[in-house]
Amino acid sequence: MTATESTSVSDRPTPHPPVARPSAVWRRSDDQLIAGVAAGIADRLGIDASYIRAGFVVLAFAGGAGLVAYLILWAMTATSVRDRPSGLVATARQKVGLAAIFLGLLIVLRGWGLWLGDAIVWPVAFTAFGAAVAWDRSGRENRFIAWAFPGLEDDVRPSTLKVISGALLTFVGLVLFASGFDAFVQMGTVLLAVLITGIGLSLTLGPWVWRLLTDLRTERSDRIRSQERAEVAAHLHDSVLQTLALIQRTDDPRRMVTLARAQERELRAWLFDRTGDESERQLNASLEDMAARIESVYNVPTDVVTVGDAPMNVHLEALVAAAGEAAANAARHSGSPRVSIYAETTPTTVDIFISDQGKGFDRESVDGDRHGIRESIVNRVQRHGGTVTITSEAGEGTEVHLEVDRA
Amino acid sequence: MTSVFLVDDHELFLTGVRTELQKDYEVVGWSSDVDEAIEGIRNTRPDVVLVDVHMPGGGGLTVVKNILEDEAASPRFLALSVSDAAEDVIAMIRAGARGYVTKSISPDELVDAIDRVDAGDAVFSPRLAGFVLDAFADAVPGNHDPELDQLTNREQEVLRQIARGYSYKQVAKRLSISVKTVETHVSAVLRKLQLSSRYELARWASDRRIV
Repeated sequence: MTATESTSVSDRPTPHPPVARPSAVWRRSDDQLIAGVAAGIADRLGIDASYIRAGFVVLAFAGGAGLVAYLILWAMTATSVRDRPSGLVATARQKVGLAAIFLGLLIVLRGWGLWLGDAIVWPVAFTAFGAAVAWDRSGRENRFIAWAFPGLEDDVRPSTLKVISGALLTFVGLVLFASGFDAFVQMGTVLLAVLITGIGLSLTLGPWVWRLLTDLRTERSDRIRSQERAEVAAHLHDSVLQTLALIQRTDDPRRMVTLARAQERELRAWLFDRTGDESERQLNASLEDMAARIESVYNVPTDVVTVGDAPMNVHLEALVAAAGEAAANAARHSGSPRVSIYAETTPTTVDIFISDQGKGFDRESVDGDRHGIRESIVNRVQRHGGTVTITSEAGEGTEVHLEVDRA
Repeated sequence: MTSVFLVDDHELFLTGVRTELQKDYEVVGWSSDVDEAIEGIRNTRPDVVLVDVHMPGGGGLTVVKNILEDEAASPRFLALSVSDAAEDVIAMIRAGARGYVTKSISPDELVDAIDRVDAGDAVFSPRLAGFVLDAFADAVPGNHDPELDQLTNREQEVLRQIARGYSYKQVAKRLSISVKTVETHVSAVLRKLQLSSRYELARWASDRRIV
């Protein structure tokens, strides 16, 4: 009885906080300048990482304390990629509290003698926190765009305020720094002013410009990627999906094979060559096209193997046309299960062989009624200075050999 | 009966080929994963391995290299792929495969190719013959080993016949030589293909990081 009671008790839903708060500091591998330690702390505290980074910089000048603290935290924490916890944003009072703690820490370190000197640490503190204020990323995205084009977004003033106050702090820090060293004072007022302005501007605006450029880059590559995806999808839709639909509606297995082969050929050409430039046509591509036509008209697989290649010209056009005629004859009359086309291009000649494994024929007996061979193959090639050799034997298949010199 | 192992990451194709080959061979194993395949081949010690070129995890190339690296009595590899890009073909052959056929090969031709590879001969499809002629086509200047870097006239003649679509038997008849001689020529070409340091081959090889 007690057992069931205890079960029923534990079955009762225990109240859980709606959002689990992060229990420790996790390094952020998605938002890191060095190792993501500052971003992790910022997550935990609910403030912008820029402040934490500025704190580490200043503490590093205070006898290296910042460096040591950073390294210890680095070693003690694990990495994570995750979104900034929403709803965890420090109030103004918390921020002031943090600042006070930090100031106290500085004073303690100064009292211990872990200090590079007032002339360095205080200006660095001013500059670093000025830059941090200016870099503060909490709030809207694309701050710089909003700031540069106030018309685009309504809520612009807070960021402008941050820029101005951050810039002021930065400049005060820089001036303090410069006045602390004789070397700078001796540089002359104008030069010094230019130097300080330059450093101040790059400290305050640099990260924005950088972020803007990154955003633009990301956007551009995203756009290219989505365009490419759309292009691929469109192509597959027009070709592969249509062919698959056709194959499903076909009863004739030979027709299916032809459709599949034609689609394979087309897809392969698209995947591996993707050169659609008609003015730069090459012999091999023309032969492939010709073979694809033969195959789709006569439903006989037609393979093309090539060695070497050459740009097309009138002679080669005639040669390819004659080869097409020979291949069509083979596909139509020979009864061979496939037609093979082999083309070898050397610097001096082009040889094309069209072979089948069909029934063959006796040339004398068919010469009279087959004008095709004489007119469309032999004469055509001879007009372009080439030769045609036809070897055929009953039952052994036919081979047509076309040869032209490359003028 | 010759034992065969199949490696292909395309399940549908794997099933189809398995059914096809069960009539003529003892199919001792199959795998669609590179590491699993390497282990399976080591355990089952098949005579012939049919291996797909393109697979995640390094592809067929990794399988061939891993097995041939440290196996004393190694199986013979026949590469099978939808791709007939030259670099794939050459890379597989240079890694040690004894033949290369495309997946559109007919069942009878595939059986013929497996038997040939099992007998220790090379299997050259018309397309592979074309690639080899292409790669060895132009005379290259420089200090090359003529023994390995050039094809003899007879070898070229045999490859040309194969490229024109003729079977070994037809080639033998057309050139008035024996089938055995054709096989000898083709095996010699295979050896040159694997050992030659010709620029074109070296480049294909280095592109594929197999040297």
